[in-house]
This record gives sequence, structure tokens and C-alpha cells, in this order.
Amino acid sequence: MDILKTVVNYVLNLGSAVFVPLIMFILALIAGLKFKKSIMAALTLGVAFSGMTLVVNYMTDAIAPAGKAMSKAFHLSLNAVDMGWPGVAAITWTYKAAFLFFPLLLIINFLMLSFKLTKTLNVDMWNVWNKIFTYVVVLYFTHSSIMGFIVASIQIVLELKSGDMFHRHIEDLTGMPGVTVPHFVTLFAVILQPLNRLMDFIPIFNKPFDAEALQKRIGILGDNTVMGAIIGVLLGFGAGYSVSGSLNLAVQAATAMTLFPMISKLFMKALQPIADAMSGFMQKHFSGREVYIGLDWPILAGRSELWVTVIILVPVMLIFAMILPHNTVLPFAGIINLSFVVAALLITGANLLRMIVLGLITTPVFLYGGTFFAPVITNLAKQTGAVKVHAGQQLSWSTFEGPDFRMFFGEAFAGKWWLSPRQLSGF
Amino acid sequence: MAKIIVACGSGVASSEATVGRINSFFEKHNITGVQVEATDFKQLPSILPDYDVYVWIAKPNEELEDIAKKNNIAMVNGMPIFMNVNPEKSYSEIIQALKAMQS
Repeated sequence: MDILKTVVNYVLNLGSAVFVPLIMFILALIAGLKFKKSIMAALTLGVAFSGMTLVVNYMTDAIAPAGKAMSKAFHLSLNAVDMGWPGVAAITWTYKAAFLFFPLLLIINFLMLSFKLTKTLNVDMWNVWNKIFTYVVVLYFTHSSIMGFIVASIQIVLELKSGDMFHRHIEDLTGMPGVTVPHFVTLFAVILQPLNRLMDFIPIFNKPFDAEALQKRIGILGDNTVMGAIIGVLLGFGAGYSVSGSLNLAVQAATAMTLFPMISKLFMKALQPIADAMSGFMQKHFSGREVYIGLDWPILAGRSELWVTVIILVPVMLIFAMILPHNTVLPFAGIINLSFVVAALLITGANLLRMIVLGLITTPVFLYGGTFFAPVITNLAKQTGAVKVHAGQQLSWSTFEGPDFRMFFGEAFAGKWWLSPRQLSGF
Repeated sequence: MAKIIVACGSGVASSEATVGRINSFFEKHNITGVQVEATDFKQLPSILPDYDVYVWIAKPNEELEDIAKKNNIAMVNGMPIFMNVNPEKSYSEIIQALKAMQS
């Protein structure tokens, strides 16, 4: 017994960068992958993890001091560096219980399809990560794994229902039948739809705009490298750096912004064999039934309106970060607001002006979400040993996905059904 | 060397998944000398001219179609590959496009 305990403890103490790939290796073998492919998948996951550590640390070392200097000069408190969804997803994948959420998703989807409670068959195994992250958030507030699993399950059910609900819209927007997007970000429609209804009564919001011409003109600003450089140089000036200092920060910021997706890709590469095995199993089982195949949101990304909106909102995010009282998030890697734009595209039917206005109105929701959840993200980063966090510093995500859902359920399951004034002033 | 590009939201997940599947298809059929890459939609218009085939998972807009026409880039519907439902048609279109390049 003692030997077993020692072995288990030894394995658990290997550290996430070894432990998680080890699990991956075993799962890959169970899924029937060849030995060589299993080794490759496991190693790639370890490399992805270490690579992300490298980039996040590099980014924090460059950006955090500038944020600090700028905060001092303007009397702000921007101590939470934004590592965007690639950073948060990376540390989430390295969470010890991460792989349990694949079967959770499969079982719930399987049951709901069998009992005809949904027509959506979710084959998007990549976004399992945002269920894991919800679990982590709820665990932080409630200290209960069971609560965490319950809320993650609620999220899975709502996503499938959302897939059913938006299936027609998605066919209209993409021209492709039989597909849908059961993605967490579509649930933000709950917040956006009342605002969208109000706009029905204002004539200008019912006019179409040509987004394609605009995209040609401002598209260059959306390039990761260019955007990183611009934010870097602005940050340098804001921090009171010299011209040479600011230009150096610009190149460093551009480097971080360029490397983020490159490293993030490796996670997909590593997880794909397992993800394919699982989605393949589900598809085989329900072949012949009329189902909507649930895919990741980029099938909607061909619309110019989406890109024009998020690029226009970049400076808005920066300005709000400066002027919102008590905001701690310094927008950077997550500044492209993909967390609101998918729902906005769906409910407005790609009406550019409406999408931009909805973005303007809800930007503070995301920044305050990032502020509120910064301790959770920072804690997760520390727990998994993913990145180093200096004293007085935090990590966050400026366009935090589902701030409404995660705050409500995180707090509600901790017994706080209503926000007290004390909580609100806690920002 | 022939070059294929796939694009998605961030050039990380959906496009990389599609790239992975195309690569395994090539591997299985001993097709070599083809480079398959993933990118995001924001950068796509500026880099598309460097590629021979664009495998799309979101309907291309007019701008992309213009670029493809001007630079003689083949467009292939990659949705079946991405969905993993009857992907054979997409694969054969890719092969055809690659063969057309050689001649």
C-alpha cells in the first residue's frame, strides 16, 4: 500500500508539464493510437506547455513594468497582464483533472441525443477547455469539485441548446446546411439580445453597411504583429519611456503577439488524435440520424462584419481600460474581442452598426469580468506552475469569455444568489 | 513545393485541426512535397497570394475570391474535412488542384 502511495505521489509531483503529457500518452494508447504517434502527441503537449510558459513570461516581463509605470503616472491600477484566450487555454489544459471533461461532454451529449433533447452533435473537442475552465472558476469560489462538475454540465447542456436554437441563423449566414455552433460564446446573446431589441426601434440600425470595403482599408491593423507593435509603442509612451525604450517595447510586444498563436497551435496538434477518436465515435454512433454537427465558431468567420467590428473595438478597449474606475486589466493578447462578436453576429444577422454599438456598450462588462476573475486566473497559473507571477502582479484576460455566466454560477453555487453592495464595491 | 493554406479565427484550433487531417491524408497516400499551413482570417488576404490552394472552412468573401482569381489559386471547400463527414470529395479536389499545377 505504501509503495502504491509513493508511486502515486511521485507521479502527481512530476509537475504539470510532465504529468499531463503522461496522461495524454496513456489515453492515446487506450484510444488505439500507434506507439510512435502516442509519444509524439504526448511530447507535443509538453512542448506546447513549456512553449507557452516561455511566451507568457516573456510578455509579462516586457509589458508589466510598462503597465506599472503607466499606472503610477495616471493614477491607475493596471496590474493584471492580459494573456488572452491562448494563455488561459494553455494553463487550463495543464490542469490535473482536464481530461475528465472529454467523457463528461460525450456522456451528456450522448444522453441528450438519445432522449431527443437536442439535435446537436458537438464534435468540437477543442472547446472542452472552456468547460474545464468553468470548473476551475467554480471550484475557486465554492471549494467543491461536485459544484464545479455541476456547473460545467449546465454549461454543456446550454451550449447544445444554443446549437439547436442558432442552427437556422448559422445556415443563413454561412449558406451551409446541417451545421451549428454550440460554443460557449454564443451564450452571451442573453446579455446582447435585449439591447438588440431596443435597436429595432431606431431607424439607422436597420440599414445595411458595406463591411467588405472597410475591411480592405483597416485589415492591416488586425495583423497580430502590427497590432502588437502599435499597442507596445502606445504603452511605452504612456509609461513615459524614451523613444528608444518605446520602440523596443513595440518590438517585444509584436514578438509576443506573433508567437502566441504559433505556440497555441501545438495544443491542437497534440490533442487532435484523441479529439478525433472521440468525435469519430460519436459520429459513427449517430450516423443516419438527422443531427446538426456542432463545430467551432470560425465557420462564421468568413463574414467581414465580424473582423471590422473587432478591429474597431481595439482602441475602445484600450480607452476603457484607462478610464474605467477600479479596472485592473491591461489589455494585450486578448484584445480582439471574440467573446462577444460571435453572439453579436448571430443575433443581429451581421448588421455592422449594431455589432459595433453592442461592442461599445459591453466592453466594460468584459474588462470588469477580467478584473473580477484576475485572482482566479492568477491562482490557476500559480497552481499549475505554468508561469511565474511576481508579487503585486496578476494575470488576466481582457475579453473574458462568459463573464455573466461564470460570475452568476460561481457566486450562486457558493451560496451568494444576489450580489451584495459589498461585493460590487470589491472591484 | 506546392503550398496549401487553411484559415480560421485565430489560426490555432479549427484551421490547425484541418491541416492535421490533410497531412494525415497525404501521409496515408504517400503524397510528399506539399506544405500545409494554418493562419487566421485577418492575415489571410495579405498572405494568400503565396499559396497554390486555399482550403476554406468559412465561405470566402469577394475580396478573397478576387485574390484567388488573380493569382490562379484553387479554392476547395474544406468543410467536409473539418466536419469529418464524407471528406473524400474535398481530398480529391485538392489532389486535382495539385495535379493541375504540375501540368
